[in-house]
Amino acid sequence: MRAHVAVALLRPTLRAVPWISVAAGALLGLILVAVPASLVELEPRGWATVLRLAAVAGAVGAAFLLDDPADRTTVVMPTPRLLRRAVRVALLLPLLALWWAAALLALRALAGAAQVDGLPLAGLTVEAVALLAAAIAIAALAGGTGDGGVTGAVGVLAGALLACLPPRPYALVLEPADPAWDGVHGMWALVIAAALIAFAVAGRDPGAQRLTHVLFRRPPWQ
Amino acid sequence: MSTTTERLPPGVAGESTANRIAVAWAVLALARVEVVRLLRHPAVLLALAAMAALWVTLRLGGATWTRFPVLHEQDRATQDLALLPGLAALVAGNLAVLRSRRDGTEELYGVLLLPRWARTGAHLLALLPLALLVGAAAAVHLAALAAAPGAVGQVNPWEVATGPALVLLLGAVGVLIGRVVPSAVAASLAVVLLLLAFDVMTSPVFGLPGRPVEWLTLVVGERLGQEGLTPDLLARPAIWHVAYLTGLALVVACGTLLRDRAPRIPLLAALVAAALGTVTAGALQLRPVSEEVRAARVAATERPSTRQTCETAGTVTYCTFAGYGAWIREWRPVVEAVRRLLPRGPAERPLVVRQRMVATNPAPEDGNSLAVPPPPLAAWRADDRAAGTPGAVTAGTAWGSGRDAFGLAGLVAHRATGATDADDVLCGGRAIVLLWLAARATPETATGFVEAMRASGGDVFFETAPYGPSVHVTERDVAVVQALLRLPTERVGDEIRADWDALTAAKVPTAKVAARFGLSAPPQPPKAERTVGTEGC
Repeated sequence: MRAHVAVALLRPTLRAVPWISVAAGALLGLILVAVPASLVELEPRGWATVLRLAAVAGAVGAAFLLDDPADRTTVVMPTPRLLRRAVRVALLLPLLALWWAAALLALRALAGAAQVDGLPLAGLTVEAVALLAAAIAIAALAGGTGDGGVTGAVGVLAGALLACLPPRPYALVLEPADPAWDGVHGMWALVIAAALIAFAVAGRDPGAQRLTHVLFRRPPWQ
Repeated sequence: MSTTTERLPPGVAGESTANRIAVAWAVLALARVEVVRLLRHPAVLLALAAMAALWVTLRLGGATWTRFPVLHEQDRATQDLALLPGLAALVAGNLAVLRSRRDGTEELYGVLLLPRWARTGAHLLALLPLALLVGAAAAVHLAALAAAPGAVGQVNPWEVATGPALVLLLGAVGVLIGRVVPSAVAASLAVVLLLLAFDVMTSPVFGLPGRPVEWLTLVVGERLGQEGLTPDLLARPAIWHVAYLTGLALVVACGTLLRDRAPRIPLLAALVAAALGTVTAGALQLRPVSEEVRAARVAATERPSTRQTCETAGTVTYCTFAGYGAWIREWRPVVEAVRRLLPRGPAERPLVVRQRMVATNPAPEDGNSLAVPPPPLAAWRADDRAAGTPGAVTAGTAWGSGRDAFGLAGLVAHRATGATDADDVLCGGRAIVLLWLAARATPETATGFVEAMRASGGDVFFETAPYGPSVHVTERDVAVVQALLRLPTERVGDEIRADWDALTAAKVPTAKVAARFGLSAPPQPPKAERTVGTEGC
């Protein structure tokens, strides 16, 4: 029954998503990769920064995914908010995967394979996924009325900037070939997990009973 | 008719003085509200907290630059951090401008007498207190650094003022974006673009660092080959850079107001004046370094003694550039610790420690040259002879790390063992005694020795001058020194003092020194595997 509803939701959701914001972020991300790739030669460190900034641009755009001026009216629908939001994410995910692949391919095609070979693309992809997940999760947490995109965008920007600040041994943003690379990417995977949990919690309907109420409800005889 | 015009909003018609004053009051009242909202915006609070946290934690952690700060380098370091509140101002200013659109009240404002440009003006004015706050934070930070006992140099107030100017410029850009693009995504993406720009412009690949054109960007960092200059030789056009950034901020602000139909004539005049000022300041900061400063740099590099004051403590004389006197207190324990380990003769020989730097002038046609010329060793020898201090030991214009202490101790020991500047590879007795003295002197030099070893994978290099020739000690000798360091200091020290002449004579084989202390020297690597210059060891 839920699957049936989800399929039925696909087309209207496709129309409701603010594609311009999402596309603006993705487009800027591609430009950020393509322009340096066709102009300059960088060290692996430089390309890692370029890819990270492209991921931040994509995440900033994707933060607006859940924005919906009609949120106050759809809240009364029997379809749970989590399902409605999940449909939006499901629509975006294949596109974002294609976008990230396109960014990596553009880098390889324009800068040459020799420039890209030393790059730990798997780790950078984990960071990109973490940024996207964090952006959408913050937007979901803030967007009780369908306007969390701003908070999500600013939040992921601030998070990305602050992640660069801690000095070693607490650094989260490392240069490729750093010995601590694998350990730090465990932290980034934790960010993804936390974002997923936050997304699920934020998807609870406002009318639903609070968890605390369910757990600590007074017995009816009192 | 005239009564009707006077009630119309200013900027539309009826430019009476009373109206102008009323609008000005309204703008100020609005600005007051916006100031509070901007200052307590989460992005701004987060940026200010991050800035403060970084300063405080590094201070508490005892980072080298907080214990021995060079104030004329730390003042410009506040600019990089001011980018954080600057970017926060861009985002927060933009969101404040778009607030009415988000809340759907833009149409309601249309019925107010106060015109749209006055609201924009209030948003722009609201940036001023944040800029002042950033400047005040930087001033407090620098005052705290200056209070450290190891602080040297002097703060350039214009370098401190650059941070607030950045905040104004970035905030004004945020307001402009808010008025041009009616979506919050634009400002966030602008921040990403700016971040890439900062990163690209500071990477040498782009060819900007070191060129005068670099001054047209927002923050200009340290140039390669220009580190460790005394304040009088820096010649950074900081004042013109502040004027340039403030001018840009005014141009953006006037442009935004004009777009919102502010009174045409005064604002056009202001825009033209700001643009002219920006172009003038922008051009003035691109001027090449003046001839006097170029000559002073050459003089300070080649004839340091002419610009220094000296202070004698016991048999050691310390000569420093103006403003660096506080470090004599830091050098003395290291120098004296090495000399305490020496036998009586070398320990009582007078010694001069002279501060030296290599202040290179960029070539006139291309300031981007990454090559740093070798230190003028011949000129230094001549300078020492002229000053009556032959054989002075070099101390640099940076201090605080273990490597710095180890370098100074190494040079004092180098001089004591009778090695000359011409020896670029030391081996055998001299090398072992020298490294043991330098590493044993103080706890700082001991950590410096370990760092030096780690930095070059077993061998040890230490510079006899900034960027200058290094003295190279091979891994084999270093291994003997490590073994010696594990023996009791008293015993090794006594035996070195007793056998000083035999141990520090030229070409004493490593194995013989090791055997002298009951150690076994590692085997000599085959000749083909030795590094260049060490074949004779």
